[in-house]
Amino acid sequence: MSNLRHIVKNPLGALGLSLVILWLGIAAMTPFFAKPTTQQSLRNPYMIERYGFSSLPSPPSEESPFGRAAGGYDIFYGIMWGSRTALKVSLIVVVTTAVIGTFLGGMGAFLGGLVDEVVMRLVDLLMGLPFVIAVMLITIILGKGLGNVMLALIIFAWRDYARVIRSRVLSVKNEEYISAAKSTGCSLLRIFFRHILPNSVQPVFVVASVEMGRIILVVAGLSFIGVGAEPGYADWGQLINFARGWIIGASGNPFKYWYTLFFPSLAIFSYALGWILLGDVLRDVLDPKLR
Amino acid sequence: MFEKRVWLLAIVILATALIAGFATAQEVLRNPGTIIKVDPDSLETLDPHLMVSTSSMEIPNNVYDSLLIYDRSAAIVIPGLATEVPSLDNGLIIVRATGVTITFPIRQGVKFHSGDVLTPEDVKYTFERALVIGGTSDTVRPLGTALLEGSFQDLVDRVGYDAAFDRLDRAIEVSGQNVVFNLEKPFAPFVTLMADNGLGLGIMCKRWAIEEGCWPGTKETGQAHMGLTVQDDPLFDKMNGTGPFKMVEWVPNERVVLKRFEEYWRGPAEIETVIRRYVPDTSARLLQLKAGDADIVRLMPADLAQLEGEQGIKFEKRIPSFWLIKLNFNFDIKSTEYIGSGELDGKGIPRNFFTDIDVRKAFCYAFDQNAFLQDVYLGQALKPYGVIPIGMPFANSHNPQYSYDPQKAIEYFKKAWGGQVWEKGFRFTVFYATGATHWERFAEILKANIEALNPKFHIDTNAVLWATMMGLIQGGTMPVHNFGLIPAVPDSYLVMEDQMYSKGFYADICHYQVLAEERYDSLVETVKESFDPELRKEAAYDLQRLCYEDALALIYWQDATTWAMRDYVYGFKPSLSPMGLDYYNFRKGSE
Amino acid sequence: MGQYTLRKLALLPVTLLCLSIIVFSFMSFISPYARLAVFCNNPEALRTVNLDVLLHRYGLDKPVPAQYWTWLNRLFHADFGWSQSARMPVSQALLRYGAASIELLSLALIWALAGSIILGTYAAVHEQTFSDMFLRVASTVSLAIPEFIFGLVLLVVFYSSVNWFPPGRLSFWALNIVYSQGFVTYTGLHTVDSLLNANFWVFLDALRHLFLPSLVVALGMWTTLFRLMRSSLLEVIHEDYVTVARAKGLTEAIVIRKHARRNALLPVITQAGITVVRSIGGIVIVESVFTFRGMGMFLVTAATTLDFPAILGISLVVGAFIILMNIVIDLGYAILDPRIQYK
Repeated sequence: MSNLRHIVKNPLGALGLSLVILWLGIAAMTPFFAKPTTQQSLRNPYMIERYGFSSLPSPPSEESPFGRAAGGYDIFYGIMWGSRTALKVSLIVVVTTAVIGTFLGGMGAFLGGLVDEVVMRLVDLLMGLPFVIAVMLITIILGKGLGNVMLALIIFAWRDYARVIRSRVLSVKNEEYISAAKSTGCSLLRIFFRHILPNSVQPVFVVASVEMGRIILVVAGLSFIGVGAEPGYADWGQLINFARGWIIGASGNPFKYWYTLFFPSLAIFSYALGWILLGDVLRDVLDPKLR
Repeated sequence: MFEKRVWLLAIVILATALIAGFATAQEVLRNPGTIIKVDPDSLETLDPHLMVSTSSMEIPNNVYDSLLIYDRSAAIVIPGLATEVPSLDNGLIIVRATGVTITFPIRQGVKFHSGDVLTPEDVKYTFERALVIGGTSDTVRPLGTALLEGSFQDLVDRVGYDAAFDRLDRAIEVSGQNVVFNLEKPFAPFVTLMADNGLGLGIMCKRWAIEEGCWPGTKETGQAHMGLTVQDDPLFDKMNGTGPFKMVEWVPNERVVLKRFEEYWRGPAEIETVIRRYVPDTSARLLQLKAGDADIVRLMPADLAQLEGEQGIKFEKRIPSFWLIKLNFNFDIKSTEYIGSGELDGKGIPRNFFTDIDVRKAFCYAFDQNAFLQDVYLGQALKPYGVIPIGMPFANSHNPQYSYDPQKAIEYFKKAWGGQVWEKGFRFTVFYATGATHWERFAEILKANIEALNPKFHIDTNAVLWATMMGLIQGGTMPVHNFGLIPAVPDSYLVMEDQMYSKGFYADICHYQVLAEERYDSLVETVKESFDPELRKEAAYDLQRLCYEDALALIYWQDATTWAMRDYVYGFKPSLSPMGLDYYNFRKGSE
Repeated sequence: MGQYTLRKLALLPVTLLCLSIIVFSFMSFISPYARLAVFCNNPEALRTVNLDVLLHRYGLDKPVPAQYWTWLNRLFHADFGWSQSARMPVSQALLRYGAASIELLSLALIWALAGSIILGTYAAVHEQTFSDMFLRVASTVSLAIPEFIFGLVLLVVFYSSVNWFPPGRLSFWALNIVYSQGFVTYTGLHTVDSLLNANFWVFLDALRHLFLPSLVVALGMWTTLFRLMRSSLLEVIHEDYVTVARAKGLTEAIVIRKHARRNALLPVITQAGITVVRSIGGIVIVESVFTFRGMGMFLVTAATTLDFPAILGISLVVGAFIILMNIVIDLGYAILDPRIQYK
């Protein structure tokens, strides 16, 4: 609790927390504020509502408060449901990779020897294959769609956690209380889970929080170059992709189609910022030594 | 101290960069004497015999000449490297029971860019080479059909290399200053084929080609040069033609530079240099046009909105091309992967779903063509009359057509498969290639239209990479195919062969060979073999009508290109290929 | 230490081999016709080419292990194969586009290092003042800015409106010079080559085109480096020997410059290595936004057209680069912290 107070007292932390809470709130309230009305969206609300098929974007209006992207996609709807997508994706990826990374990296460091070698070789191999190539290949073979992007991300993103926890475990395991526990005959597994892990896991929270923000930037980037969500799926990166061909506006009015770029950018930025600020403050709170 | 020095350095660098930027940003008429075109497609090779992509053909169009020239504005064929257009009237085409001979008198005194003089030997060599190496471009195939009834490889497989080569050798003869083609069977499109304006059958220089490492032209060496790959091709990055421009430089995936050929036989071009740059990003192309870094750009419909009203830019709008797109129904879907349950139970379609004509007709009436042409193409495309593109000979403007009529669609759906379609409903997947927006929109509009008719009708749309789609097309597993045709030369036979011939491309991938053989083949063969224009026209009209009656495909879109250019660019002329330009008359500056 | 390095270096070819096998095996999941897409880029062309003929002509109808064996054989003769998506041999494309990306990365690194060292020092020296707070907040906030959006916005502002910094690598007139007979390409990096050819204007033009993309990449690199510089300098400042130096009467500036900073720099340099490796993914997107023809764009084109020789070539080169960088980074750590023992 004192941690929470600490976070709120820090102005950046307060900002971060409020942004995160804001987006959590928006995601929760989405079905009320952005009701699907067209047939397609009724069947799968994650498909962005479309009005017509015009190749031109249209400015904000009563029906579409944030305007429509080329292809008739309602931007407001896309942002609302995109927030759910963002949370879903970041949560699944971060939790899975954190668990895998912590377990593999921690066990490897703790047990040392062959296990450690194998884990480190694996990390090396994964580091060797450029992430973007891997994601592209996986999407090409398995098809587009966020599920496959998440799969690719999970396969490659756990190595950061592994590295981070490995260095902590390496130092913690030489502490005195560990040898004390060993001498009293505690089983290795018990030592790992009861003593080592709780004392080395703090950086994982920090990384996790920052990753919640960063993952969405990566996914948005992939959608931007065309290897992300299926076309028409509510994903912020895709909304930016819709805006890509319209950045030069019309003659005499370079900002004519500002709304296509502005709203999705704002969404991505504020979401990512919230988590990153939170992660920053967490770092200060959980481990002042790391500052 | 250190900090201040670094800041100073940074400021100096920035300032100089800005100055350099300004220095070049000032001129109004940039690059006089040069036309710069920015293009979303990159050239795949410079060898016209191996070119597959339509947009690459712009370059041979300007660098090579063919025997005849197709004049688009007058829609007639005029002499090119041949001094007369062969016809039955002037005796240069002779039809006998044993075959047809077509004679082309070759112009004298025409120079190649390398300095050589054109001789009939060059013509014979060019065509033989195209066939021996297994040329893959659009006009080489009908050349093979005309001379060998198929490709050279096919002939070799049938009768062995020696006999095949002998036949090829006999098919093209040099007689004095003439080149004589001996066709065993009549091939009416031959003359038009020779008028492809250098796109694929431009004449190459034999001596030079052999010097560069191409096939030496003899029987003994032919076999080793069959099946030429793009990377082993000596002409991959070299060109030597008789056209108004010579190829000076090609940086792959960047730019190609053409320079005026002073000794062009029709008189030198007005413009000195033509540069085509590869710029895949739309915004970048438009920005470069605005800034004056580019002189001419081909526009997609949506781009027009961003440029209209801009100072210093003028447009050429709605120039029809021969590119036609249609939705083809697969009569025999090879697996149930994309058709749900594979049964008529509302969760899929049976593999022969589209063999029922009522189904096909229903689809043809169900699609809102207008919405597509207006909303997606913003009025800048054409609604075709039928399977022959508008502007091609024998296109029948009075051909019966399908238009959007939901009532009729419902009527036919209710009749289809004994009423089961309407009762149980159906579901299948329509594919489109990632990034092909027109394709995507089509699928979405079709889906919306169909699903509005009956809540039990379901169409799923799925985006796949073009590469993946190629695999799917070959497998025959897609329920419908949504692409069309671009005939290389304006002869309706090429369209008929693709669309309605039992041995043609669409009959093959859509599996309607039997239907085609029964109803269309004899008509197609008339168009192919008869030298009587009236007979051909009648057969062509019949075929167009049949395509409508049998609802063979949903024909919904013909391309019309729009170009934007700086207002000091004059002499605009599109080439035969829809995405290219004919630079001979271009000039820059005042009127 | 030496043993450790040697071992890791010896493992490099094995790792690369595994990499190539993994990538190659992706091929077995793809229809062979899909690989012809690179020779046939639009559906209307399918009418004229006979795909089976093409399949045979390009050797794509052989079983996958056989194709792998052929590829591996050629590799031992330093032949990476032909990339149709690049329209040139893979090795040539790797050199050309690799040079472009190296140029971009290097300039970005220069900005990032210069910025983080200078600003990090400033922030540490003025700890807890407004400027310090501002810089720290700025560094956090910049983490949240997606590179492609930043790039797009910069393009709109600096190219669309005022045409100061256009996309691409060189202007039209500079391209003419670079591709002309008189100009010798030594390295493929336009900045270096133009200086070597004593052409100052081309050098400026190259810089002008590099400016925005390198800035965007640098933004991604800057944050961590800045923070690290600041924190490690702070640590050092509070060390004893600095107090001693102060007590000796040296001016603050000299204290910072001569004693504190040198020691604080080590971790930053090492971290720079990690940052470079991290930025490789970002390069793909930045190059795409700015139409900067480097490895990133090469990769995107190769991947979307399933140009396997190119994909393999890129994987190997980038993979080797990353592994080598990691070895260098690990060595850096070892120099930093003598307690770390590599076995």
